[in-house]
Amino acid sequence: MREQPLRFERRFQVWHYTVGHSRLLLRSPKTETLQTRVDVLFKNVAAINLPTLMDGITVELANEDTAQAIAGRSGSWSLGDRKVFIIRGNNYEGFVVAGSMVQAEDTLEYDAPSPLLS
Amino acid sequence: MLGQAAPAIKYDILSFLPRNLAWAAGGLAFEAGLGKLASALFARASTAAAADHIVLGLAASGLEETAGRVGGRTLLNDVNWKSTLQAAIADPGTKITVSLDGLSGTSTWSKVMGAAQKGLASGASPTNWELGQLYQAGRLSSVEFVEGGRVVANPFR
Repeated sequence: MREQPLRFERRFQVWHYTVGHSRLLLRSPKTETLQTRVDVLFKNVAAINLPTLMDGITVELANEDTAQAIAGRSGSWSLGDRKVFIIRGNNYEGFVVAGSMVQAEDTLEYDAPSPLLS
Repeated sequence: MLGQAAPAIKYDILSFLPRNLAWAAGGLAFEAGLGKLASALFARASTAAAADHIVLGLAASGLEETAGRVGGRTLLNDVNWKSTLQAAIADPGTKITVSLDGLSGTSTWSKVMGAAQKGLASGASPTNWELGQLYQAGRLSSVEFVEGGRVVANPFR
C-alpha cells in the first residue's frame, strides 16, 4: 500500500460523478501557468464530503479511528472493502469513502474525456 | 512511451482492491503513453486468475452482498475493470455471475438483452457495457444468473 499522500498545489474541481461503478472525478485543468491536466478518480464511492472547488489537494488514507468515525456516515452503503480517503487543501478538509483511487496527468484540454473514465 | 505524438499520461494508482487479489497489496505507479501500451499494461496487471469468480450487476442493488454470498468478487474497485472483464471473458476458467437485481425487464432474457443492447452503444453505463461484452463474446451461455439471492435459469443455454 502506498504510504505517501497524493499532493498537488493546484486548483481542483468536482468534475463528474456517475452512478455506474460509483465514480467520482476530480479535475485540475490546464492553466496559463500549468501545462498539464490532472484527473483524480475514485471508484466505488460510498460517501463524498468535499467542496466543489479546492485550492491545493492532499489525499491520504484516514487513520483507523477517523476511518471508523467516517465510515458510520456512509449512508446506506456498507464500508466493505472501501477505504476512507482524507482530502485536504488550503482552506478545507473533507473525505471520500471509496474502493480505489487512481490519478492521471496529461496534456489534454479541460473538456476532453478523462482516460480514467474510458 | 509511444512517441511524441501520443500525449503523455502518468498513472499513480492507490488502489484498495478486494483482498483476494494478490497484486493489490502494493501501490502501482507507472508511466505510459495513451493507447495500446497502456491497455497492454492494464491487461497484464489485471489478468484474471484461473480460479477467479467475477460478479457483475448494479452496485446499489446489493451487488457486493451478492458477491459475498456466491464467493466471487466485483469489479467495482478495479480501476482497470474493462480489461479485467475482457480477460475474464476470454478465460473459460473464470466463472462469471450476473446479478439481475435492479435491471429493467420482465424476464431474465429481457433484463440481460435490454442491458446488453444498450451496452453496445457508445457511452454505455458500466453494467450495460459488461453485459454487452458478454453477449458479443458469446459468453452468456456460461454465465450464472442470480436474482434475489437465488440462482435462476439461464435462458441462453
